[in-house]
Amino acid sequence: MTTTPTVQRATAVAARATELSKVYGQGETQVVALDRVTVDFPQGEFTAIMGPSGSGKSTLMHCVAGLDSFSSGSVRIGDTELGALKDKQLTQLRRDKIGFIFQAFNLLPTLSALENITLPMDIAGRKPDAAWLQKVIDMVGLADRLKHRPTELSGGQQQRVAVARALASQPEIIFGDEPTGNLDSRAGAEVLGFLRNSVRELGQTVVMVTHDPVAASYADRVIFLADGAVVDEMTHPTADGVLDRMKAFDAKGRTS
Amino acid sequence: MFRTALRNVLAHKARLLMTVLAVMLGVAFVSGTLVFTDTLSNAFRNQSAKSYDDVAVAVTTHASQQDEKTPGVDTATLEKIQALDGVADATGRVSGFAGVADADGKLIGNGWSNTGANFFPGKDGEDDQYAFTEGAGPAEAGQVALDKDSADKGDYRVGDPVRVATNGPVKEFTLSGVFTTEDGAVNAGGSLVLFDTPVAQQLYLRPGVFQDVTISAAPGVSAQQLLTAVDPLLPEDATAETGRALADDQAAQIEKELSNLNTMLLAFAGIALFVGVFLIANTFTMLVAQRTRELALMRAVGASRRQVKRSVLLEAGVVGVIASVTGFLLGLGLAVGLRSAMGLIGGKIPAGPLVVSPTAIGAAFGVGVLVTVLAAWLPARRAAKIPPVAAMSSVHAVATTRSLVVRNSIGGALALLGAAGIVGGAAAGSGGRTVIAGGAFLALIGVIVLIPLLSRPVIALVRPLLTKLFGVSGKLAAQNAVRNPRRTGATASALAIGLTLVTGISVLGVTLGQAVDRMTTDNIRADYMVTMASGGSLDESALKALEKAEGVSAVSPNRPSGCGRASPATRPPASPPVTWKRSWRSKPCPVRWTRSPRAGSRSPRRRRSRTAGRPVTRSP
Repeated sequence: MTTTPTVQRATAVAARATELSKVYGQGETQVVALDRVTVDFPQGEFTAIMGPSGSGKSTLMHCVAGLDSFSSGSVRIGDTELGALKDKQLTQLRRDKIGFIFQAFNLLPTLSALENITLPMDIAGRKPDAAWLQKVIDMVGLADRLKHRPTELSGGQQQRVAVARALASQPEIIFGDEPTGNLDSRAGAEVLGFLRNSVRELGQTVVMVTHDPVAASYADRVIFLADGAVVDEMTHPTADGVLDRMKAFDAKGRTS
Repeated sequence: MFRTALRNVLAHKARLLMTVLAVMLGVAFVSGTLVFTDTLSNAFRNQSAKSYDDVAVAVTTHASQQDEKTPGVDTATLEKIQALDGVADATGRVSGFAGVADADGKLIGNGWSNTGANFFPGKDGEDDQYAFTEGAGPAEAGQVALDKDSADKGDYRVGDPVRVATNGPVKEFTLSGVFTTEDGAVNAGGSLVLFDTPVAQQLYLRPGVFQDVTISAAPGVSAQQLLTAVDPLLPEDATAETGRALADDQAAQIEKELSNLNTMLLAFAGIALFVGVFLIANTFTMLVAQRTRELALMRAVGASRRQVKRSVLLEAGVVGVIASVTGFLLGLGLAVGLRSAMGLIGGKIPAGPLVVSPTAIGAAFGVGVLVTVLAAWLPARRAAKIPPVAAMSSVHAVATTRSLVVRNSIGGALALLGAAGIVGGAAAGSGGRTVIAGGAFLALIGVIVLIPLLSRPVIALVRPLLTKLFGVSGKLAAQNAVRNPRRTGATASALAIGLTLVTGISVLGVTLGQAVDRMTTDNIRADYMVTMASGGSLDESALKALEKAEGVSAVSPNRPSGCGRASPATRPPASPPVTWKRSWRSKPCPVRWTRSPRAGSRSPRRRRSRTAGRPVTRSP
């Protein structure tokens, strides 16, 4: 298990945060959620962001994914600088280049599974690529559930619909916010397997926030956050390795 | 997007039902009113066209019994007209008031039109205007014919004696026949008595003179040609017009009268829609708050603000269309119901098809959809402002803690402006009525906007009571009501408007009632007042009959200047009862007895009607 300081790879970068800061409030009530974070998410890689509660891992993801504004620094998705975009352009960027998977699945209860999968394309007014759509649906194993409403599906099935929704529009990068947080270990493993396969087989880029070392072990690389700053990073993680590292932070946090 | 909107409507059926109901009622009023008045005016227009169907040219002279100077059309002139080339037939007419009493002495056809006219048989012994179902037209002085409805109401058969009141003593005639006619007034519920021509001339004008002449054209002769031919024969002051022109005039007149009814009914529609706006805005605010997560998700996966806004508006549009369709159908039912209701209370409407004009359909859908969409505008804007990051947090978006300063300032300004309007209008006296009304409206809107602010002190006031009565539940209720003043305000405003309407209407009703009461008590000291239903003058014989009647202590004829009418009262009125008279003029009895409420201490309050000419006994 080797710890390497930020490795600059030869591959292109799907998303990059440079000196990214996010500050809530003013004066005495000021809270620094992100403190000059610089991080790269290379194309075709599965990255996990880990850290204790309040470490700023969700905030980092929201800012990089264009869901939330940031105070200073820069965020690029591909060649696009997010700080310069207006709400309308940001919305279009999310629609065309980013896929999302949420902890609470976030499917529209009034739409069927298939309609939920094609929702981003419906919103964009585009026709989904039929062959690709079929491939994604087959991969997540939902072929016989497409007509069902979310309430008629199990949690694991719902999250598989969400994974398919994120993959269907072939985004440049997929962000997952605790995608296994609401699932039991088996369903969670399934979903993580799909995400890893999408990276390995389809060349997809995935960034996932999690606090579960087992989930993190599916990733190619883990970034550790504490108090709004990147404190460590690990490539080819294992669950035990990640757990040990987390314990070390905890111990440090307690002694300091 | 449309699919999502439609699904959302289906998913929230129950919640949207109230909204649909509110809009539906408004649309029903609008479409019902339009269809009803269209139907009515169409029926009346057809009626007037029909009654002038055979009339090529109509001559009017304005001759009357009182006015000796205006000449009528005498028999010689009529004969000259009849002899003209192109004239198929010419009929002379005289008409005036004639009330028919039923067996109890009550006036038949409690309507606005109690007419008597002459029966004018042509060469074949028939009068084209009247089709006899029983018997024949009056052939001698002692006979009359009655329209079928009036004969049915009085249960009169041919040969029965009929008491008829004209501008003179009541006379008894023998019924010679019962007829139907296309006459507009009769078809609208009026009564018509036909006399022998000499009798009618004696009653209404002068022997041998007619008021009006209707002329029918021979085949191939135009009304215009006839008009030119007839004109030189007519006396001065007489006017001749084609039947078509008269029918058009009458139709225009009817339309004008109906437009008042239209305005009144549409005012109700306006109120229903006004309340609806608040209900809709309220419902959609709740829906949007409830669906914050879903809407945020839409934003996160790439829906623009406009798309989110449009999806909410689309939802409102779907609700509006549903409400409009059901409201329109309800409106059709309302129109049919109104028509039969008017039939039930005695107003007879000529038969005709239900007229559904494109305007009515357009108005129903325009109003229904537009009102719903406009009312959903603010909630839709709010939906569009939901940040996409709200999809991430597992907690619902925090209740808006936006300051109420802007809202309170607007509300305060409106309320102040309204209050100023009310005070200013009141100071201006009776001329300031519109100002008061405008001020009251502004104040109402202002108070509704201010409800979130007002809710706090009001809830604080009832809080101890709630806690005392309901313990923990009461405490929680009070706290919840204060927690989100906007939500409290939204709920309270719908109720507030409902209560405003109810109090407004009841206060109006009570005030009107008292005003009428005061008017009568202020102006009349008499126990009874006798007037003619026709608005004409009471015959001298009635005065003598009244003086002789048992229990009558004093009779004083009342002759207001400029009006040739006598209204005897048992005691002289304190002041000329001009206002009083006006307010009662529309009351439809041949003779009316009204007990003044002020005399109530001496005998029980009572109002009764009698037909003129019968002896009257005053009840103790």
